[in-house]
Amino acid sequence: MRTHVLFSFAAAASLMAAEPTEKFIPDISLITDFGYLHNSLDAHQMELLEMPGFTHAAAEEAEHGHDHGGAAEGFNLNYAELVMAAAVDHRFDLLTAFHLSEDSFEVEEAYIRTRGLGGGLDMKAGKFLSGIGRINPHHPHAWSFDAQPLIYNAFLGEHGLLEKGVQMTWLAPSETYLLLGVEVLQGENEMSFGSETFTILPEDGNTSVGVESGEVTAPALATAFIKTSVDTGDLTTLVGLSYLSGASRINHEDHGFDGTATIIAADLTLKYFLNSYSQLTWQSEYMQRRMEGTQLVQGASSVTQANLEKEQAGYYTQLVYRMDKSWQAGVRYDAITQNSVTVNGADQNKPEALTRTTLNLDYNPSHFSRLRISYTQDDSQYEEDEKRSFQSLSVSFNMAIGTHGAHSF
Amino acid sequence: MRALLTLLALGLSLSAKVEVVTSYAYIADLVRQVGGEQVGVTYLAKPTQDPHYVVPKPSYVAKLRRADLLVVNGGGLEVGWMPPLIRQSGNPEVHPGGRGYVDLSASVTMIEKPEVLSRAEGDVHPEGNPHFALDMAQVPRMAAAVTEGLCRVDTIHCDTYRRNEAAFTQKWKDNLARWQARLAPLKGTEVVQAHRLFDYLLLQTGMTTVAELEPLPGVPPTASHLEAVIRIIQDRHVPLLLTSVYFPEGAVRLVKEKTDIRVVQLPHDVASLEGCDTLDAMMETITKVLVP
Repeated sequence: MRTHVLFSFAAAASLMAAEPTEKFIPDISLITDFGYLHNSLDAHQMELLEMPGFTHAAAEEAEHGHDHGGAAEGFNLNYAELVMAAAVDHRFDLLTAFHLSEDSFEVEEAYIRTRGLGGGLDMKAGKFLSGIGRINPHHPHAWSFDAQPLIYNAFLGEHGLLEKGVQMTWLAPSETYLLLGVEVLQGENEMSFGSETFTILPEDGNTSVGVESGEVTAPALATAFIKTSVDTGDLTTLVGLSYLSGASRINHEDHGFDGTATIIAADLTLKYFLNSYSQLTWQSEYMQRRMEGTQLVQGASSVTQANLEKEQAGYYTQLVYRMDKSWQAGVRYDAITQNSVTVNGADQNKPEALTRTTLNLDYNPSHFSRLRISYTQDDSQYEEDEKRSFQSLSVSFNMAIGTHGAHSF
Repeated sequence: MRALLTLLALGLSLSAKVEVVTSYAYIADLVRQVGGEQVGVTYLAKPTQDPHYVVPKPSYVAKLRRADLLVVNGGGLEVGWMPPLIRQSGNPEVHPGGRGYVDLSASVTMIEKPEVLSRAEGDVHPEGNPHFALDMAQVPRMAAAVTEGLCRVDTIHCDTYRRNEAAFTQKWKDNLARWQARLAPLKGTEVVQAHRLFDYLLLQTGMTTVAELEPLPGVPPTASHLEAVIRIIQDRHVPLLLTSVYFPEGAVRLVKEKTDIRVVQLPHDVASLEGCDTLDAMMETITKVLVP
């Protein structure tokens, strides 16, 4: 009875980053996410779903070679993430995150970060998750819900804004937290930004009538964000505003877009601390996108060009109650509130009331393991012009081993 | 003109306080004792809450941005929240290795370094038990580490800091003898702890821990584990259960109802309980509570 308590002593509150590390081995962690999913629609019906004005049906994407392979009915190995990080020297940290699926190995992030340049300045360079928005800079395993918010999926795609580039931040020397950040990014976002020139050919493949998108010099995307936070007693408030502007070159093989895109995002988080282990958090983000340019559409023997304008907006709002060390419950409401798409001035009458509600229950045996049950009522998807509402039930196991740096607020 | 500017700069540096941020309140008290009027000090973690579970609020980042010196407990106690704060501070001085970074664990001897490191053993930490805030004998070493840090960032007042440290240490050592004498009768007493928070104190007073309410470090008590603890208390007639202000009350209450063990809430940090506003006062309180 005594021996089992002999080595049991107090220790770390989060995933542990031992510093200094022994023998200069970087912090290495492996996170896996495995789950079970049941949808009320069958797999074939799911493949036909799309968000008009935003996304294409998976069946159609697969035809274009854009198969993103979302979670399927039944068991899924959602992802594995291998993270390695360490101080390079007294000036730089290096962080790499490898995103693994059953048959792919992606360098999700690989960037250097300065260890304080002085005067509140810091710099990041490499491939990293942009600092815009509330959840964009955080890895999915740190999110309170498994699925991306609808606005992220619709405006930025499944990886969020993940780009190669440079980030500069400045923290004001004020008592109130005030952070300013600017980024210059390559512009490779599948949903809103792109810098690669492409050509749309007619179905007959006649290159002489193919239409090429306008050329643009990369880096082609710039962002700016500001975040500020105040504490009032046991309440912490965090507010953020982000601005993204860049070239928009989107190539879907049989059609494409050549223009510019601008996104404005605002976020608000209120966290109320009840005790050491319990908090109530209300978090919301709003995003608005404006796209303007030329739409190129493949015809049988020609390519048609039209002036395309999109003005779209949406938000999510979520309430998460962390009850104690082990339990957490959450509810999130997602909505697209504006979906104006005009082609040559003609309104395309895209649907606007795209919504989704998610309920979550988390059980954490420790900091390193999480069992999550999630129920979703999805009213955001269409098949052709018909709304296809459906429900999903998912169970996921998120596990972390190794040493992993603690997450920021 | 240049002479005037130099004088002005000197004047500013003489009048400007050294801004010190500490993770915990007990470290802030050490800084106050050594720094005196030359320093302004703020601590981050709320003393009434679990020192492992601190949320890295943005307002803390703003504090580190303006800090000349950051003094942490170290030994892994802040690993769940301090690294992201330092990372976001934009202040190279307070990064580990910087001029304005002091890790107290580097100056103290830590106990209970695990021989086997596996998370199957709970929230174990490679460095050993980081709860040395109540290690009476090692407080002078911590004061010395704080003094070195202050001298690095404010060489002008170094002599003052050394004088303050000497005075503090002398007074502490006088008190230490008294506290140890008062706690001496507790030698050999077996105790149950909620979490291994008080091992350094127990080691010095010759008390031993026979069980913990947590089945594994950081893991909330389970019914079957509490039953086992209750049996140990009954079998060995354990007289004392030590808990802290933040430990969930349910398990403590259950054990008390079943066993009549004396439950004592000890401070784990300065300002965690009443009458513990300084390190001195905290030790006084502890001795009075343990030996009424």
